[in-house]
Amino acid sequence: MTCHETDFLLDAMSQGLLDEQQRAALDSHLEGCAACRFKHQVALDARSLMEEGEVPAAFSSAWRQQIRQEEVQPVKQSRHLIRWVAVAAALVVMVGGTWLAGQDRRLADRDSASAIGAVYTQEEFVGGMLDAAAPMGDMNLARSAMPKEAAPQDANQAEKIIRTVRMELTTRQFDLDQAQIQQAAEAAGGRVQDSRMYNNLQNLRSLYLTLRVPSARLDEVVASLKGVGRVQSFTESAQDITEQYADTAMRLKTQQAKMERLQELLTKAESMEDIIAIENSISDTQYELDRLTGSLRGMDSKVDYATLDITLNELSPLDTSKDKEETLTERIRSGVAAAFEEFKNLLADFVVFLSVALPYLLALVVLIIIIRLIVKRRKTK
Amino acid sequence: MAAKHKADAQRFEELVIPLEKKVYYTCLQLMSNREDAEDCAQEALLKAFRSFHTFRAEAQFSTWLYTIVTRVCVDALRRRREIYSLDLLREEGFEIPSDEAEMYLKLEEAERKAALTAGIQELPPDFRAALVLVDLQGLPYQEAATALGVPEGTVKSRVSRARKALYNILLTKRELFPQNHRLNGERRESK
Repeated sequence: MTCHETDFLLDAMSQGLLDEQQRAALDSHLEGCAACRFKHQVALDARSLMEEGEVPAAFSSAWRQQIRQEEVQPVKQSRHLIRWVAVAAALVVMVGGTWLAGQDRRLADRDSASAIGAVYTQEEFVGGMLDAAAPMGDMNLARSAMPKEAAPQDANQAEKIIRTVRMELTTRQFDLDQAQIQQAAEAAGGRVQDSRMYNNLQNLRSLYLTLRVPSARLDEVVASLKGVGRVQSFTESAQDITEQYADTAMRLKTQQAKMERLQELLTKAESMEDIIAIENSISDTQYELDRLTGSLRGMDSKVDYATLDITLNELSPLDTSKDKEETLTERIRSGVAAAFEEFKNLLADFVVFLSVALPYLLALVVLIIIIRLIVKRRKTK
Repeated sequence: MAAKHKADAQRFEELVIPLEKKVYYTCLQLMSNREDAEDCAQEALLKAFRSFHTFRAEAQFSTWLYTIVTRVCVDALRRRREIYSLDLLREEGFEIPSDEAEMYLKLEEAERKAALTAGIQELPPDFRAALVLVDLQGLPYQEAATALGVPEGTVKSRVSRARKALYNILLTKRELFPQNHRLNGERRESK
């Protein structure tokens, strides 16, 4: 028998599977082979390692005591479940509470935004600018506000053109851009004619501005708005009213001549009937004069002050689409800043919720402690 | 509840008592020192009791218990993060030099056992566990496989490699022997 075969027999021996014949074969091989005798001895010694010595008494009593003190298993298991349910409930309460707290903040934001809107919506119609038949006093007021360089051109000179520019912008820096637009208009001697602001459902603002800007400086203002937001649409129109203006001016002249003649006639009139007829005529002519003058001034105003309609839409800070000529790093930066802002808001909401819920949580904790005490007492009985 | 618990504890104790010594010595052989062995044995018994309700009567209690005991010990051994030499576990056979073998056989029983115990400590946890269950405790391969949670073939190969490594250690690592001076002296005399 080879040593390799002996290995199998030794293995069988360790498993207690050796029969008489194999036992004899093994013994005879062992006699002549020191290596296998060694393996055999190791196997015997290994087995005997377990068969001696006593179990330390300390260990023996320790585990028995531990088991007796151990609580009953099924309770343990249900406790496990209770723990998970408790964790889930706590999570739901926290997330829900934070969301609710955030809801308050979002609503508050919207309210404050619409309050701002309300202030702006007090429309500042520049008197008489659009209305040709407006009283003269308002007209003068409007005129006095006009800067020197934008002074109206003489009635019969040059072309009369009404310019209107309409722009739609989107921005992420709403407040900044809004201020910049107004600043640009004011710097050029323009003014806000109408301003309305609305909040949409996502708590994003939209601003509708109607600006009046001296025509001569319209291009300058439009150019200065280049860095503001991202232009979504741009339309420019120029309405030529030269003919209409000349026509009106001519009629005004005729009426003025007529007026002069009537005044002359009045001084010469002798009969009362003549006087009354001339007076009536004068008053009709005066009405016509006023109407034509107003119409001319209205046209002047429209020509001198171009209309700039601007719609400024706020972009969601989390909207990663391209705003103006942003570089990648700028976009990343604004995205990160927005996310950080959101996170800050979330944290704030969480803190708000915690402080609001604190009394209830404390009451809950006290309740739980009392229940646990009662349960424990019942167990020990 | 309390009464049921008491009954459970009693039944568990009855089942453990005949195995107590084996549990303790298995831990001792695996952990190599009494303190760790007691800790592990206690932890294993407590764990076993805690999941006693999952024990199904059709399974053999001893196998079920050894499973827990070995797992606790192997985990504890792994936590020690000791470094084991894998050179000893090479698959190729190790030629046993007759001279050295004879020398081992000449040792006294206590010395052989001390050397053996020291040699077992050199084995990596998984191999040590397989060897302790099969060669020391005398479990059939199948039961050892269940206890270790690995296929029977894996246990066989682990035991075989552990044995070879152990032979190697016993015959080459003289420092493990309690009285290696005497051994060396003997050898010199024989020359």
